[in-house]
Amino acid sequence: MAIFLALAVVLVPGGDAFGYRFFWRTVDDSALPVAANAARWDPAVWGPGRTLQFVVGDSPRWTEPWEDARGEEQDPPFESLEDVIPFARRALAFWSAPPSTDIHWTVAGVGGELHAERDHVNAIRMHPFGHGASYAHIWDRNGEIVECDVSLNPRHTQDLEGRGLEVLIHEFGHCIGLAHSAMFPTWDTWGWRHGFRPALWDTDPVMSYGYLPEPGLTPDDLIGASLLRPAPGWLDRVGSIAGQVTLDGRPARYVPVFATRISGEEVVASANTFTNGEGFFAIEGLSPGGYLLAAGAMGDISGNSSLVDRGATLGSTDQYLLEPVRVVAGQETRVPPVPLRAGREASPFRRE
Amino acid sequence: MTRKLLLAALLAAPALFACGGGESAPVAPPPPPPPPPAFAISFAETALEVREGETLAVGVRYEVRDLPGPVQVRLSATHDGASEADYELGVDSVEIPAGHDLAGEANFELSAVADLFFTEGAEVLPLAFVYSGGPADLGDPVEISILEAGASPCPGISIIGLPWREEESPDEDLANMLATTLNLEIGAGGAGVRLEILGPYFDLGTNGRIAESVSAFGINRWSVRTGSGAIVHELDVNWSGEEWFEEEAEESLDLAFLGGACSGDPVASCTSAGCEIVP
Repeated sequence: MAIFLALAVVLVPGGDAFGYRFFWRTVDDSALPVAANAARWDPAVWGPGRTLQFVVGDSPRWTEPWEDARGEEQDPPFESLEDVIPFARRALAFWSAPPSTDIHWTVAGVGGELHAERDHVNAIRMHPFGHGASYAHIWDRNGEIVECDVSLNPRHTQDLEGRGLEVLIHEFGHCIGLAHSAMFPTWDTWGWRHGFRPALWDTDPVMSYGYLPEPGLTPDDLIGASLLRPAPGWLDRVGSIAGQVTLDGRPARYVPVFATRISGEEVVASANTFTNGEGFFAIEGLSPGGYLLAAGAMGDISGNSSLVDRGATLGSTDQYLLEPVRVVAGQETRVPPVPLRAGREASPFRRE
Repeated sequence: MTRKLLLAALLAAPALFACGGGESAPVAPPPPPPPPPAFAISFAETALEVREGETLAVGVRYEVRDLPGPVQVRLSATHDGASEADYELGVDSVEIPAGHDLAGEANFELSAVADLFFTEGAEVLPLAFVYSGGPADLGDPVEISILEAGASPCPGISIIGLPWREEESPDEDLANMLATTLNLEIGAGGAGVRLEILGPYFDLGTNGRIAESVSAFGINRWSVRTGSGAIVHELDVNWSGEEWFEEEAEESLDLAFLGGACSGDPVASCTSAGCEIVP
């Protein structure tokens, strides 16, 4: 499993990577996990309607053979440095294309040998080691993001149409300000058994450590990005659901809450969030209509172990609320508290 | 001898001797014609349906030719998918009144018992008349189909499930994949109800100190219809009834219904044999 756990890490030098769904301006687990409390880009650096530029670091590692964790030499990631630019632009376009976002960014070209350091250059670098993770290094100033450097691990470039592209999309999502999403509460987390991933939640968010059959954004990813960098007027057209989750009468800390949208008569995946340290949640950016909620402690903590370090509530069963919740544009719909119960005793460990 | 009988005897005589020649054998007299039925009874319908939890009036018609006293005609049920626990008969017999050349109607009640199963498959109850007190025309049986009403874990909620079906497992480590379609109808009394997945939860291994587990319950399709004061959920679900790497160990899928009018947190349990509310 280690190969997945090290998919993509985010670092916030000079600050705390604390966050759930969004990175936080401050370490305050009583603040609601809403976009208003999230760390955003300094408008002076990347203001609304403006284009953020990345530069590909000029390094021979892009085009040289590399050594994997077993010490075996692997083919060069790219044939030429110029090939990196369209690859990176493809990943950026996943975030900028949707009309609900105000995300304009591009790869300006190839620069010098860039480092992951605060140098006012948003760099795309090749990581020096062929094992471990890929990273997004986010630099902040007084809680506002001022720079983002992406370090791509060469092992994530072995499948540029698949896993490699997915990882780069994920890292750029961190650059927007998105933290790790929760994986959906369903079995076969990693999609090992192709074709048996339950279809309601067949694709985990790209910002989670879950399973994606192909690179792309899920509604959860798109809503998160749109909340941080909304297109003009988009926020007026969406609403939110808010409430509290408890476990045995106490606030359930950092518990995922999932909203599924009723589209016609079919229920489809939508957005998720985590409760804060006091069990409160708010799922924003929802199109008007009916929604069903589900909540339960994290089953798979991959990507969110920092929340466990902060006392995330574990060991509750999953619950599905059967009464639809109506979302109205521009309004917050409050739901009664969701009282979880202890349980979720996993089957004994049997994997060989 | 009346004139008509005399004529009959004369006409029969040539036939009686026509086989002559040789020794004549004794001839048994023809059996007497059966006595005419004293009465006839039949069901008004040949097939009826009743939903679990509801009561059906079964109509009966009779014609009495000649009965010196009233008789009781017993009802007899054979079971085709239904058992004695699935129904209650209001009577065990129907009385035919005494009389001569009269006809009439009667009816009795049959109640289909509401049970705790989500679904039980086809339940048919052939019902017939039995009478041994003399000649009678008892008609054909009536086939009564007991329709699934589903289980009701709490007021305002009913669950109907299609029979569990086994799905082909995608790999040898995950056997006994089961799937079904659940239909949950939530009426006004079911507001605020939550479905809790009690288990099983698959262990995904450990991530450092923390054991990871995810629900073995998967939803392939979920539709919701509202209107007429009810919310109807239809879910195509699947789950594995067998733990990973554990042979012949079937775990049940256990669901609880919480909140709203569901007092006592009722539990439903599903195995490959089906689903039922745990009493």
